[in-house]
Amino acid sequence: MSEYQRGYIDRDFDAEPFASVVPAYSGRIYPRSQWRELLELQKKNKTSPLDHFLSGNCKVLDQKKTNYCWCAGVTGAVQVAYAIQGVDPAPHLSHTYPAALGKKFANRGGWGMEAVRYINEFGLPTVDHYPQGVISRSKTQGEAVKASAAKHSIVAFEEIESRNFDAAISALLCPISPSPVSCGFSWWGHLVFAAAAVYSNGQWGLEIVNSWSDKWKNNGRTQLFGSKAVAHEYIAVRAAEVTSDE
Amino acid sequence: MIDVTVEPQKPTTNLPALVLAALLAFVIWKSGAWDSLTPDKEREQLPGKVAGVLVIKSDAMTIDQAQVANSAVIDEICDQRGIAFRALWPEAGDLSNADEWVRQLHSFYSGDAPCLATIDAAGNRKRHELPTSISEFRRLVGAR
Repeated sequence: MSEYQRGYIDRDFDAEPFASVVPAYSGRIYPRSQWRELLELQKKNKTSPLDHFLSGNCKVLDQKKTNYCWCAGVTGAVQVAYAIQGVDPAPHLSHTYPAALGKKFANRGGWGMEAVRYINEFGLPTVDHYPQGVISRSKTQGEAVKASAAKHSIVAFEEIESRNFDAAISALLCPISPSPVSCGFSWWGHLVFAAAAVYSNGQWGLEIVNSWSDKWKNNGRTQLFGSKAVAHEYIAVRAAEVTSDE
Repeated sequence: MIDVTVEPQKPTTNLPALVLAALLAFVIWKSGAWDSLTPDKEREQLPGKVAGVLVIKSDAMTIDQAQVANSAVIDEICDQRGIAFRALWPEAGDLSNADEWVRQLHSFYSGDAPCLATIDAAGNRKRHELPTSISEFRRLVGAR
């Protein structure tokens, strides 16, 4: 039994259809024949979301004992969207706040689009206003936490079709506007976000950032290949509002 | 009686001293020491040091421009020199909480995207074409 919590529940696309909450991904889907060249371009110029994750000093989130991976993965990608816009250091956001409010303080699993709805409704405070991994009704009260959450509530999300690995790689490799992508994996029962496309031994894969703190694997990151890199739900984070105190 | 046949004495020229003075002036000018002797008010008339850089992206960016606009390197260049940096799209959403300089540059130049806008400490704004290389970006923000 893993010591780590997960919490991704396969989204019911009949109940909540593709692109019904946010628009469909508007970027170009690049053919596989161009991926190697795009990857080289990205490495040369340091333009991948992972480059910004590292240079913007983004924090690896920690869901602790909660089942809120579905909100942590999306929130981690939002942090990178801030870093891409030059917010350095990127704000360390608490995914637990919108997840707890959305789930009415029940420690339950969910999917990425639920996180998008709750982030749009409640916002994302920084961890100094609401601790991550702690479900507390009293901590959601007060003007300071609400003000902090409101400052990180305007985020542009776009949805990639379920299991469309080529579109997810294209979003990460896009030379015009690369985006981090949240990935809900059925096989893992877990949602994380992808920060870069990777290529090794003739296979394409994803470098993912987990929400099990930076103590896990390679500073909180690992690479997934083959069928393990194909997600049931993908959400690209295109941009986030810049606020004055970041 | 005045002897008008005597030629008046010609003024003598101290040629070595003149050459020495000219040489000294040349050395001072060449060494750049003159700049430090220039009064401050004259130097203030030079363009101010860049205090903030806003990259305004657009779908019309070339691949080379996009590589600069999306590069983590330009963020680091600015960070190391204490220059505030932001990169936005023209449709940046609600910027009411953004820094004043970001709102100002965005409102002035978002219609001219893609571009790079700078502001100095005195509030002087300037629009540049979005650079196509990191070295060009360095030059525009005064980071050599």
